[in-house]
Amino acid sequence: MERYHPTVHALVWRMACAQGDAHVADLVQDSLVRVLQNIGRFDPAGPAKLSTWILTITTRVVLNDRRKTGRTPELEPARMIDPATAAADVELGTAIAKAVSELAEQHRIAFVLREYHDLDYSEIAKVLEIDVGTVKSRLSRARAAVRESLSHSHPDLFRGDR
Amino acid sequence: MTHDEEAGDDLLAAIDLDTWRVPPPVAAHRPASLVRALTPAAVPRKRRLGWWIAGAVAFNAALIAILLVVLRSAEPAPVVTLPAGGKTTDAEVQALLRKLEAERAEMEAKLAEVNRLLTLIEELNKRIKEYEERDRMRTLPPNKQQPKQPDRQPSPDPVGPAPVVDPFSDRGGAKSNNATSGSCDEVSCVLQNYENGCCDKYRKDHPQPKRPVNQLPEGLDRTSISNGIASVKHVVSQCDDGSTAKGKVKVKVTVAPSGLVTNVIVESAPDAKLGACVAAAVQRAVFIKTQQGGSFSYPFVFTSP
Repeated sequence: MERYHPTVHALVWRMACAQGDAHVADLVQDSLVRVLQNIGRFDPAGPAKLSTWILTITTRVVLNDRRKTGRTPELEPARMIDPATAAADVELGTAIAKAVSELAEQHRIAFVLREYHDLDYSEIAKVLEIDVGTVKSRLSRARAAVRESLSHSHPDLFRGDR
Repeated sequence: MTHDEEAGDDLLAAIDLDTWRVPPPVAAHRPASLVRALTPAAVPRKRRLGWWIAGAVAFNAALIAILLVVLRSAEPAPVVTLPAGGKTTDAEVQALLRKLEAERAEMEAKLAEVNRLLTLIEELNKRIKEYEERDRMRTLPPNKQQPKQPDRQPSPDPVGPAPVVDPFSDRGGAKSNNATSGSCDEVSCVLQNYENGCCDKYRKDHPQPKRPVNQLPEGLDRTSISNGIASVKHVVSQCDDGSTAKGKVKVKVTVAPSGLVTNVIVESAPDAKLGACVAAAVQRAVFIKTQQGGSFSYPFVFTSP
């Protein structure tokens, strides 16, 4: 459980977009408890990896919490990144956090799972219970939106692309 | 990891997305997580409330069902409404009504017959009184009697009527064949006041076979014939007044179950006028009621006084 705790925490943090440390901690604990309660149902010989299975549970916990509370992320970019981040990266990290938090929820989840947890398209499709084409579409739109957001705050990052 | 342009993999290729680093997680409290994981989930309050509501609904439904059963059992017995006009849907009642109507009609007919008989009896009583008065007048001294027609009273005794000889009687001088032959029938015994020893069996005090009280005799017997004829005998005897003929007048009498004479036929007579007079007199005779009525021949013998 300790091994997957940071992974679960990171996913919840990025999806909840820093709604508060206590709330994130509650969701993390709910996710871990749910994993422990259902660990007997996991089939090690099955197609899913344990990490993917745990991320699936965590994603469901976060989405259910969102449906119950109806909360929308409140942007606190200064609190969205690790305070220990190097000074040179704080500005970019904050910009990325801000860009991701502005994404639509469905796009943000696909983006986080893909970019920060290395799930491939089919795994994301299983987690979100959608088809792969939809995953690609959502990822494309999420990336475009993040790029658009970063192009304003850090135009020099894309100067050499064209 | 596969490269997919459709998903826009190249869009953020120049950016190091890992610069967004999340704060480290707070150390998880393992025992608390384990206890929470192993503790059965408490029933949500909402679900408990649902059970309460379901229980209340079930209780109310049971209460309503019990009330319905109680009210239904307390309902009065169904009222049978009969159609107006005396008609009824019950076949048995209709049959009973028809039977009662028939019995009423029968009783009315019997009552009418009784009334008719009462009228006849009154008339007969009247006639009897009339004839008794005549007889009484005839028995009076000659100076008080009305003069008789000389051609009709050739006998030395002009007062008395010509004796009518009853074939069932030996009185009156001329004995009947039955009487002279010494036969012992019921009529003869009655007329002889049971003087013969053989008449004991016809005495009234002699034990007779009991007849049901309300049952009529099947037909006329000798006694009833003699009694019936006796009621008109004095009338028949007066026929001698209008005729000089003597001899035997034999009539055939038909009697209805009611006891009334329905037909009289003169079978033989020395004189037609005498026969008609006898027939008319016999026509008024009344016999006892029987089940079937009957007919018989009866001879009247007119002899000189």
